[in-house]
Amino acid sequence: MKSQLVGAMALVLGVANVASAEDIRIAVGHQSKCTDTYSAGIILKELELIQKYLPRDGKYKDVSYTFDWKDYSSGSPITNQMLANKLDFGVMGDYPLIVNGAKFQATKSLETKYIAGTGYNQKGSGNAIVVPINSDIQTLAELKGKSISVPVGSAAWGMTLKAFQDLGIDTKKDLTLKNQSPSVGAANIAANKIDAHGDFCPWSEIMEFRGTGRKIFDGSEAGVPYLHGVVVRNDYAEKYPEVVVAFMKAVVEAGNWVRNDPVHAATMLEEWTGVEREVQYLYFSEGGALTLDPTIKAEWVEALEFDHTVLVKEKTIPPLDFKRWIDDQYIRTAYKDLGLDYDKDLAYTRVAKAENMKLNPAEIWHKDKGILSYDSVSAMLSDKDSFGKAGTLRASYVYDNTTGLKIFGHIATYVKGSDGIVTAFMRKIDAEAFATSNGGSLMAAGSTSVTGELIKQASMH
Amino acid sequence: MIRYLSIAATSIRAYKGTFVLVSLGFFVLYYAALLLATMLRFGEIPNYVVFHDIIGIYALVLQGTPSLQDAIPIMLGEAWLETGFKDPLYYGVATWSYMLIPPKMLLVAIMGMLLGLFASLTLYKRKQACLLDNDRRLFAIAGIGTTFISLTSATLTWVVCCATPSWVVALAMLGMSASLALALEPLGQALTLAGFGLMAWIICVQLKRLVVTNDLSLAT
Repeated sequence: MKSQLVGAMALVLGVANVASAEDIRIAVGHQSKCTDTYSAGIILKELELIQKYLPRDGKYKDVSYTFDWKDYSSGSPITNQMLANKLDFGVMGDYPLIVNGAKFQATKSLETKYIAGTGYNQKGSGNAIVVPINSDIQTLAELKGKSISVPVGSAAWGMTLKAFQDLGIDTKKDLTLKNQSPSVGAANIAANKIDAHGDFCPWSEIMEFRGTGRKIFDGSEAGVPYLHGVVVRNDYAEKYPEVVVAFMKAVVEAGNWVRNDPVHAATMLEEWTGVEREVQYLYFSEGGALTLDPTIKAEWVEALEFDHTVLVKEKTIPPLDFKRWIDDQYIRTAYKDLGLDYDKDLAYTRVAKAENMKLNPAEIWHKDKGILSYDSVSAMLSDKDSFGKAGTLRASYVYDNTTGLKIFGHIATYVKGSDGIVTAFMRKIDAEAFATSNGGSLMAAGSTSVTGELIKQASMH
Repeated sequence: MIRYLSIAATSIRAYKGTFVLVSLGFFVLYYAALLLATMLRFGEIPNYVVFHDIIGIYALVLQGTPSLQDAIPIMLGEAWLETGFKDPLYYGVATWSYMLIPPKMLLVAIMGMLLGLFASLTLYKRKQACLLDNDRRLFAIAGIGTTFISLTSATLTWVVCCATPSWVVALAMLGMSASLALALEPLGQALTLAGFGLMAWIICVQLKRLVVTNDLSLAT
């Protein structure tokens, strides 16, 4: 009888003990198919970076942590799951971020905070309009009277409307705008069933890498920054500020992990997400389209405010008090704890056109030799030794002379100047203008053994 | 009012089978047709299904939402079952999904019962020594009410239109431009109310006529 009583007491005490040890949930909604979110999503998950910085003393002495990573194909469901208290953190792009902040502020008792960025392109590269690889179309103006598809409601849709509006083309009268998902649009581009398709990253680059599509318009031409970031439920941040700081430290480390070895990062990211490593490298290598800067810059806030006005015009969206929503205290604390200078990173904005021209103008990802960097495009194109065997080339990279963007070598148009210097262009029309004004001629596709190999190998993907 | 309720109860008792068949049939057919139409529209068979712990989700929402006024609309949007198609060619992104959301299911069930009641009343009236024929306009109105509620109770997502379940996905699937469909989204509640209003009205008309018929029968 006595032993039974002791047993029951032990059971009760055991239960009480378990109950007193708090379990803190860290539930994150991320997007493993959206390259811009990786530094607060898939990288943290796979490398278990948050665990490294979680508080273990003071009020956190006896707590345990439970992680819940949920993967989504867009930002909207993440907001819904955050509202339902199923997620604490969300990682998403600019438009969904605004919807997130506005939806929460529209409630009586809930709010989120925008606490860090995960990546940006200062000019808005990331969205693009692509045509089938063999299409004669080179400019947006040539799409007048044609059919173009876009995922309506996405950031790429907003960019497409603005791009045509800027040209004075009425999207209702002057062309047929169709509604297609990224996968359907990509399939139609590959099958040459649509004249053009507007989409967000990484879809345009995937089409280019697979050799099915070619960009004729890059989001950077719209000139509005494209960014992604992290939001957290305010009640969670107030209750566990140290956990939020730990998350921020992990974001900083994830960025460093990519920068330190982009080839390894691209390879691992392919393994984790399925998005090809050559595409990942285009984004995350030095000179790539994305930065991994988590600071919240004044110009990003301005861009978000602009995006909010676009959404207000397009459909009903609640107002958003940006001052109440944006909160950089956690990322600032993370920087301070890591011994880093937040204000220095805050003051720096990478401008592709100015800075990429300082880098070596061409790279090749060789299957056996890794990344080979060249001091001129012509040096890369004449490097026949590196392509002796078929299947040795993973991808090649050059910079568009017009925008400074890093692009795949096999989709570029090359101009050979009268001085023998070869310059790369994303769009043929820019290459022709350059050749006319600077003296030179367009190199025919496949005119050297290397460009021929680039194209041949691209078609093998 | 009591006479109305009494006649309604009598007609349901008289045509119990019809009432159950129409009520249940509408509910089952509605969700089956919604799934079938979506599959036909996209030419894809669902390749994933997820059952959510809806009670656990409601508890979580209540726990994390201080204001009940906020909690209720959040709970109303939570799904119990989700199925759809994830495109294997493009990393398993869900192209479309079909959801069963309990409060919406309840609306559809109520709609089914209203239709069941309307059918029972119609048959009951036919059986009586009617001085008035069944008005065909009432059937047309029942059709409009059913359409409104069926349309606004659709809980689908489509990657090109809405990543969260919305009734306007059905419009977009039918060919309406996504911009226009999204612009119509705020009208959903009004259309649902209009649908129920129309159903309530035709049922009241039937009941009123039955009351008149009964009174006349008694008088003669």
